[in-house]
Amino acid sequence: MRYDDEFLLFDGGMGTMLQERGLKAGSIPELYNISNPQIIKNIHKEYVDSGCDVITANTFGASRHKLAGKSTPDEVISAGVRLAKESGAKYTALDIGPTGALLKPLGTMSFDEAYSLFEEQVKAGAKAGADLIIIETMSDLLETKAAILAAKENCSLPVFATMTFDSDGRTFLGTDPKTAAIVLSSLGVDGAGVNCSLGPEELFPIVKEFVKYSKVPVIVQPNAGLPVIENGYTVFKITPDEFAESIKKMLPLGVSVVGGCCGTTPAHIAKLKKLIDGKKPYAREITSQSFITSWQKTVTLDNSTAIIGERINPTGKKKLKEALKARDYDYIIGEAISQQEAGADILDVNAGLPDIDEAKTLTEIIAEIQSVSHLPLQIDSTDPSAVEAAVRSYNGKPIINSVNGKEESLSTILPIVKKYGTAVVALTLDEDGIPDKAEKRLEIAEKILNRALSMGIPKEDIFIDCLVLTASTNQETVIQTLKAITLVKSKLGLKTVLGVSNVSFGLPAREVINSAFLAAAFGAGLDMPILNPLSEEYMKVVDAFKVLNNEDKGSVKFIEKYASVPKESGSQMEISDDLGNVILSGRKGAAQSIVKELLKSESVFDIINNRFIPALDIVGEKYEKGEFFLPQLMASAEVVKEGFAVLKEGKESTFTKGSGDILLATVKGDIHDIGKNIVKMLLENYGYNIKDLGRDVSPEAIVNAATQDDIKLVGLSALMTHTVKSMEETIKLLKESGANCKVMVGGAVLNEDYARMIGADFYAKDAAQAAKVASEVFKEK
Amino acid sequence: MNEYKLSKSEVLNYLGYKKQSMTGDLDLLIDESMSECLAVATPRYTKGFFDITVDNDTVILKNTNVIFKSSDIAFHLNGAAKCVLFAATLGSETEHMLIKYEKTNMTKAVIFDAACNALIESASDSFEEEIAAELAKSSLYINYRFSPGYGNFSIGNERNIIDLLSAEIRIGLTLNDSSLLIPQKSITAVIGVFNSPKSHEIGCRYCKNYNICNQKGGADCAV
Repeated sequence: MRYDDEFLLFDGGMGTMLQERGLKAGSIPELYNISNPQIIKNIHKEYVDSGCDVITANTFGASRHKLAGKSTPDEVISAGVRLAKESGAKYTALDIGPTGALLKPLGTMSFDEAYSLFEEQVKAGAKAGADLIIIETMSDLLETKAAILAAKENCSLPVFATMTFDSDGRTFLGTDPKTAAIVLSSLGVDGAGVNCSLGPEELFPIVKEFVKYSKVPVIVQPNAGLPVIENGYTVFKITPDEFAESIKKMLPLGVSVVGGCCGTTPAHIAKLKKLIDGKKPYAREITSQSFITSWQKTVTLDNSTAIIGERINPTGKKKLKEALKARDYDYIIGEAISQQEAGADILDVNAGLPDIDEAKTLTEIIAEIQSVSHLPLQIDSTDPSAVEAAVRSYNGKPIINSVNGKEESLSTILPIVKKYGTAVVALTLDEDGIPDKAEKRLEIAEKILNRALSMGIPKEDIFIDCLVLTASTNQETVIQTLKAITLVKSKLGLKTVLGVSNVSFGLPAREVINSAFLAAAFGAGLDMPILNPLSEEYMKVVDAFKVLNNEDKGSVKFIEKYASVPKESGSQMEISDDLGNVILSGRKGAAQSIVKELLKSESVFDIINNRFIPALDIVGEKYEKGEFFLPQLMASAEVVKEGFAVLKEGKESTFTKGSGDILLATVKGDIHDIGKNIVKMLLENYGYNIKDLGRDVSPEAIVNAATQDDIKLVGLSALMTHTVKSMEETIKLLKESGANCKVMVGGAVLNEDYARMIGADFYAKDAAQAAKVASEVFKEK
Repeated sequence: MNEYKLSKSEVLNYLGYKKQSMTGDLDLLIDESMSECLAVATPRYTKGFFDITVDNDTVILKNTNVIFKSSDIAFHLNGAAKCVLFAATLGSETEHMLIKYEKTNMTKAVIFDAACNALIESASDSFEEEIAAELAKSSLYINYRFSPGYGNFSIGNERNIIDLLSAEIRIGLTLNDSSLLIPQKSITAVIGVFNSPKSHEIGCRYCKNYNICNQKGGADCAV
């Protein structure tokens, strides 16, 4: 089968054809493979007669999840593939559509669950004798990745993957065609492209963008326009002639695989056949630029500087270490967002601590960061198994940090780079350490490059880190690093990365040295400095260099940032202000200095009990009386949170002992957790130590956490009657387990009676009430 | 980019605002959250027209395998010639923003959440107007959106609506195993289509908040 220098023609839609033959809306079309095989085979035959090369088996929704117990994937797929083959198809494609469930973090399905659904489909299709696999109509890049991995790991058939885009030029989950083309190509599919979504005319700009960045043959399978549902029938209006006319315009872009999606018929396909018959696809240029992506943002390295934020790394950071150990990912998310806001383009993520499960932790924090930040990530670990676990479920094309010239590193890291299509940082060190001389570092870089190339890893995905030693101990080698950067760029044509902070270790005024070194490294040709973007000094150098390097066109950004006169910090801190008033008025930023001042004369215990809690009680009372509304309650709570942060500094949270641990969770199946988070905030304010298990938490996980930590109060939230069932199950399991805890519940459909009925000890209608319940429970003890 | 309207009084309503005095900072934060919500939301909808047969407690959707069994939906569609199935969503980006604010700024999170609630309602209102305008050309009239979960029209019907509209493929709206719409800020509904204009009934049973209301018939009702 060829599809690069020959056209390959897929068939058209199945759904509308089935509808015309009696399939009722709302039923599962794939079950016709078993109940009405002749109808399916006849449709396939019509498509074979229209001249297509590939017949797509009627298996789009044949996953365990979508079949919902009405049949098995194996049964539906083996029948589907058989019918396609019997129709006289030149090639038969196993069709795989989305699972129908949204993946975490927005939905409740895990990456591994999605993978296992796809795995069943792939195995069944390969066993039934499919010639290729088409994964199509995807909106979620991560789900697509799960399907591609499932296909490639469970059979050796060619794999095609297409995504569906809306009129805003993105998939429903926000992926643009450039990012999709880059990520799908890098995952090693045999063809990638665009299907379904809009009509062929509207798809043109999306296809144009996709072709520019795809390294593999490009597929286009549009709908016959937008659907209209009339009297229960789905109707599409684009005629075969109009369809072929639109596709004709796309061919010069370099599209080589074509077909139709919803609403297209054998007549549409026959027109396409006529269009391509006896012709060859247009030649197209394949990009050799370097890209790193998340699922909705691509960083392109083309005479441009990308800042890699270094702060998510526990080395030498006590708070981060504690956060990682306690799985307090909110702290890490805070670090991610502050670096993003300070101008980082990429974030380095390192979870390397000796006494934690690094693979698990790294995977979890990457998922957490990706739930709130669009920035591409650099996965930083020395443990190959942690690296693989993390890149596997990463949404996009990440950088791996790092491989080096040692044989052990080359043979363990590069296969991961190849398999998952990542970029990689290559350190210029080997079994003999870091060479002093630039030329030797170049040799190591070249060795790594050659090894990567021999494995089929493209050159543009290798970023060389020439490494710098500290000027205080190895002063004479610093200049060798700069030389090496220039050599790597000129001799090998590779992009370079460099951590800049290390150079000043052991010297005073480190920012001064680092800034000078950063500027020199830029001059030597550095593309991606790894640094602390919260440092204004470094960012000044970066901003200035972007002007000098002709990146910041017209110095627009520079002028915007630096031309304005620095503002006088207007709100002079009113230290004399009463803490109670500051809390009541919810004035952010004011509490810290007041609490610091108070600490000179009062104990932590006194500040909490005589300052925070009375103020909070007033806030809670005002809220209950309707004198405050919700944002005011929250603003006050945030002020107290700021105050707590001051108390906790260096105090190892000893003061929370005695006030008790509370476990909070939004129950399984539910993702509406804002209420739970409001409660969490307020309870933390009262000094309780909160273990927040998040949302969509299984009863077992709640019971385990409650018994493990000997929790006295569990707070559960659920939005709807359906998920209250899951709450009831959780309570039942908690009671059965003999956990020595009380259960408090809250949620929109609950009330006092309902709460008792499902076995809860307390009902809290809001956060203020939850705080009262907590004080009652812990008073009893 | 989109021209959907977001009314501050609606947002304040969702936040439980009853003319409390608030600081300028808070007022600004509300404005800021509203503009952000408008900027990142991608409201989309899809619809389908279905011929129906209605009796006391069932609605049969012709040419489908779906029957709604509920006296409340039958009442809603009583006398209707057909119905519109409706699904709308704000998309995924507002969900990411919500997660972000819940982890970094709870005050903003509750405001942003309220802004999203107000926006999905107002976007749905304008989608509904589009539908009404389309039908008016054929001298047909609609009543209003009635959603699974209202009265005895069970949440289980979400699945039917999502499937009949292929909402997953058309607008990226999915349902999880607990019948929860994902993205969260989404609406599905059934709208009646009539041969003559329908006066909007009033009263608790017709209220769009019927299902989520904690004080049915209460004196504080603001609707």
